Amino acid sequence: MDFSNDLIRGSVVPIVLSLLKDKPMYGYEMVKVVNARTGGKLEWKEGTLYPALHRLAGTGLISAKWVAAPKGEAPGRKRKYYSITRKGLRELARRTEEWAQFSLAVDTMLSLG
Amino acid sequence: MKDYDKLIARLTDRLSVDPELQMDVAQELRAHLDDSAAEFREAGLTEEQAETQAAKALGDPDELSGQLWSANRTRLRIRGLLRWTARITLIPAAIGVIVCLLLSMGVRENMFTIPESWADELTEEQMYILRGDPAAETPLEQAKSITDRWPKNPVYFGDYAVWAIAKEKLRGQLSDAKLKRLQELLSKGEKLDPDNAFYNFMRAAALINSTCELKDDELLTYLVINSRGEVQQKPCYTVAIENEKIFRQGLAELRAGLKKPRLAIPSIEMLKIREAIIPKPRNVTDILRRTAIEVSVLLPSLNDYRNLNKAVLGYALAEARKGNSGEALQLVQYLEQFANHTGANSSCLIELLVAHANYNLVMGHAAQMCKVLGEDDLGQEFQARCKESGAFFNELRKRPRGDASELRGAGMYWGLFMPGLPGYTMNFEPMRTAEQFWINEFGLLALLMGLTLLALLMGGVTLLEFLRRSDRPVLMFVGGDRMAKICFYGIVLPIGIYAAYVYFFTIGPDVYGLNVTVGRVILELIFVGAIICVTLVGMSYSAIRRRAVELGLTVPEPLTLRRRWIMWPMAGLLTLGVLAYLTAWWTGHIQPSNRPCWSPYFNDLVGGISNSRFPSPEAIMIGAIIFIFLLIWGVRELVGLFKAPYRQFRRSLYRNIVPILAAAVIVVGIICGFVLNRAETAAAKRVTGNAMMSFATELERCDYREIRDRFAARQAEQKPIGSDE
Repeated sequence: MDFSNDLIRGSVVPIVLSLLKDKPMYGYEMVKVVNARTGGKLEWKEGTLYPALHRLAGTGLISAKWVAAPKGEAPGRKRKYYSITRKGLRELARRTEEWAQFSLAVDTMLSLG
Repeated sequence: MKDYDKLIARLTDRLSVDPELQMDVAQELRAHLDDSAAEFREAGLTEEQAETQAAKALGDPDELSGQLWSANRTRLRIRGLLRWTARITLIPAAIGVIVCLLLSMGVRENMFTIPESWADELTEEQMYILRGDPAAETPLEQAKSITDRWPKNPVYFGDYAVWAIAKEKLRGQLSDAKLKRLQELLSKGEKLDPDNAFYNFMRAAALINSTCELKDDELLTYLVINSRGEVQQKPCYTVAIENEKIFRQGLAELRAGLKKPRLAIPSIEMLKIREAIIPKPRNVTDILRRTAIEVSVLLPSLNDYRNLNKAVLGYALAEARKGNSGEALQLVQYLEQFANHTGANSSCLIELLVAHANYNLVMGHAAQMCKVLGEDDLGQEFQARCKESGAFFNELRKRPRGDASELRGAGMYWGLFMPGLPGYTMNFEPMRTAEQFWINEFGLLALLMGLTLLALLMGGVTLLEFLRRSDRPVLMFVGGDRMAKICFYGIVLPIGIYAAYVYFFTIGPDVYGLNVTVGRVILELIFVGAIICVTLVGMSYSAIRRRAVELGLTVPEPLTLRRRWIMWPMAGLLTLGVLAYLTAWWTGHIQPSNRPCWSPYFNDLVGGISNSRFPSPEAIMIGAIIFIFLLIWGVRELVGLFKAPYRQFRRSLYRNIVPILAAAVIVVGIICGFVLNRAETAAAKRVTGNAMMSFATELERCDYREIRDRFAARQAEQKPIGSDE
């Protein structure tokens, strides 16, 4: 089942923050992890991730740093790694709570309907 | 060019107003496409197919281009504003910091003029007393404007009279017109200050000196005790008098002056008034300015007193030769009282020393004169008094006056001004400390000026390149963490280490003053400045280079110690240095030092620069090797930059080093300038009491005041003039 574009777009921010909660990641890595973890159900258009990342960096929820790629992987190449900031962690907690409340409310409504 | 290079250019086209951001986003997308294409290749697609699939997976280019622009819109505005602000403010702010530092050091006005800033602390009247009418250009005009404003004040008029006598050359042999002008000045002064003998003595000197010609007597010599305690023969004075009447008038004035209770040179009185007005010094410059006021005081009367003494002695000798013993001995009595009068009323050392010399001259001449008169007993009495006076002076000179170790801590100011007076006790520490902070401020100023000049030079080169329509250099934000590292390692660390060294080793109660260590301190400042400049430029280069790599610019490979070839010149240099040292040792050109390398002030290591010796050969050799090595390294890096592929990086480097250097100047200037200035001010404020130079009261601070007290005792015992008439 394909999700609607609106649903996918609305979930990008909490998913990115959630991914970066554990370790810094670069854009392509994030795409691959999401696709793998969701079994391809949440297939992002790869390009849509970058505007979201730039917006999050602009608001200070994440920060970016250029780091050389591991030697065995892609010698000489640099990748832009993103990591979550303290502000981002607070935002992630808020969004997680918000999603839980929202999904509970929607589930309740759907089960009553 | 790969196919997706065109795609990336299309995606980032709307970000082109900010080339750095555009390159940054482009690099990120390129890395993504590279990763993506690599994965497709691994899945078995051809190179071309892999790139096409990677580009396709990215999504619709037009939609993504719009989204990227929209996501970065706020950032574009903020960065644009920051760039614009940096462009117009950083260099002017850096120059502003330097100007502020200069102003805070008090060097805004000529050292030898009264600064306008004093007007904030003084009343209009006090400022007028210090500098006279602001329109007045010469000291004579200033003195005149002051007496014109307060015409009844005897000191102000007296000060003007002294300047007029000196500037209008109203001394020595005078024309009638000049003599009349001088008489007018002195008469007016006497009217304002009738108890002051100064005007009578000056009139006596003018009349007598204008009609006499002094010569050495060919037949008669007198005996004096010189500073080594030896008896020395000197020719007596003789005079050729042109107008006996004028000479007699002069003698009458001398007698009139001796009857007056007080003698004060107006210029010294004026100095005392000014000293009481001058604001308390806030820094070393204020202290130097105060000193400039002190040493600009005029004392022309002392020379006139000396010539008057000699002329009257010559005349007395002539009277003795004529057999007029009464006249001759009376003149000796006048001159002795003249010496007592000037000596007892001395308020500065030079005045007292002139009185002392006059007294010895009178006693020496009187002894010889008595031989001419046949008054041998009286002559021996005069000779004994002359000998006793000279011996007392020599005894005073031999008293403790601060030994060499004490003078090592005197500092430059007191090392220069303290003439080693006996009994002269004072605390050198505040002035010495203020001087040390002061010279460090100058070092800081030189560093800031050097960095600003370098920034301006780089800015000029960038502008020239821009005018030649070359590739536009990219202005890069090297990042807060890199700037923090540059500031810490390039500025905070070297300055901190040097500050700790200065604090623990060169500031304190038992340390050397700048009078001893100025050479070493300048060397240290140059060394620290060079380290800061090299580290700052080197680290800035490294930071810009790293950022340029992130943006995809082609940059030269960095030279690291891991690259073996650099070790060869280093090893060669070391070998050459050791060989040169051993050869020089063998041939006897170098005497290796047995002194330990560490001494409290590195004097041994640098060969005692403070003692005017050159740095030791070891220090020169080590310094030269390090310098040549850095030079090789620097030249290699510089030459590499001028290769064609690195042109855009080189230009970007020029452009980006400007804001970094300007920011460094601002940060260092504000923090270090403030700290040094506050420290200097705190030390300068402690320069009080004996530590403060005061020309007019120096006599009170040394044992020579005993000579003045002896004059006062003699004056009290002497028979009043005219009491026997």
